[in-house]
Amino acid sequence: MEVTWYFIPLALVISLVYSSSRYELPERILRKSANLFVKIVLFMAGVFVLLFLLSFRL
Amino acid sequence: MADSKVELRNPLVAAVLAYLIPGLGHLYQRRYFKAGIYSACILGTFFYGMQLGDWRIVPSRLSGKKPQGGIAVMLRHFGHAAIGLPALPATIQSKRYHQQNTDAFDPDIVVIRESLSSELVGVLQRTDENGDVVVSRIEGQVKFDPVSDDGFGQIVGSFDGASEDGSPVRLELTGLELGPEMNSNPRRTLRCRVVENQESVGYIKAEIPRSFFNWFQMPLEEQDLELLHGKLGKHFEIAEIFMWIAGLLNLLAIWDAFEGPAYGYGDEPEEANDEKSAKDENVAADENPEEVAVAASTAG
Repeated sequence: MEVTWYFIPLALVISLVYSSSRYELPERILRKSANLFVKIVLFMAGVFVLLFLLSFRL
Repeated sequence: MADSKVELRNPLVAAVLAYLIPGLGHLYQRRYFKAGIYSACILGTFFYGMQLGDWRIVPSRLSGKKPQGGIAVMLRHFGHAAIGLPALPATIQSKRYHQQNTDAFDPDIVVIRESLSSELVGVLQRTDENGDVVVSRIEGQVKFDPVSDDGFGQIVGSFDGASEDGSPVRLELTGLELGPEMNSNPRRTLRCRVVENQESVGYIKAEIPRSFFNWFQMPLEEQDLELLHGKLGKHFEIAEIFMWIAGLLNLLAIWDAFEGPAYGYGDEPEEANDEKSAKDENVAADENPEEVAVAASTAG
């Protein structure tokens, strides 16, 4: 597997555990972790695009 | 701060249990949903990292050699150790491994205390009747008997198997050289001489399987580390990162078991809604200041 894809399960796990440590109610935990997961993935995708553009035709 | 709606039972016991096995502290507190999340996520991440590392990346060296390489290495070991009991086998194996090295009088002298019988895969190099050197791959069963009680006997053994072309091979062996009993490599090196009529006619260079308890989570020597790096490539670092992150996430779980959820129970209004309602109030105040003032005074 391409190493970049490993960040997806890692981001999922981090979001779930982090949100679990912040709240108690399952619905709130799941909603917050989904939000956090999307934020992490978008941030990583942004970094990926930035690096891709910076290294274009190098 | 601990929320009164969350029953933490004995927080210290819960924290210790959470450290030992991720999720166990929450199970003790009857917080089953969180116990499930912590155990699945943290243990899953840790063991997935172990699997990526071929089950050979040692999570901690709490005994034996002290980690060297500055604060980054210390943090790495701390990250591994924070996982609790899953790091314990490495600690036990490290003790066994270093005990083995201090026991060894001379690594060149091989003493087997009981008969050695094992599968063998390797290379046979021998001189045939015409004096030509013949090299062939062999596979079969090897057997060695221990030295006599006085310790001065010669280790003799036999090989019964087949060469790569399928022809049967039976050999008498002596001059055994074995790799250490415990090592991180699942395969143990074996070398011995082939004798015919008490004359050496060749040798075998091979590997035999090492028992699970003698390789699993054993400390990696420099050479083994390089070989593992070569075999796994980038996955070596990925595996380590998974294991560190699992350890660090367990710190959150431990704190949650000890102190409860950091932001509260979760039935409070969300911050985003609060901000939105505050904004709505401000807009309303700008548009109809008198009505808002009346409403505020009535409410007050």
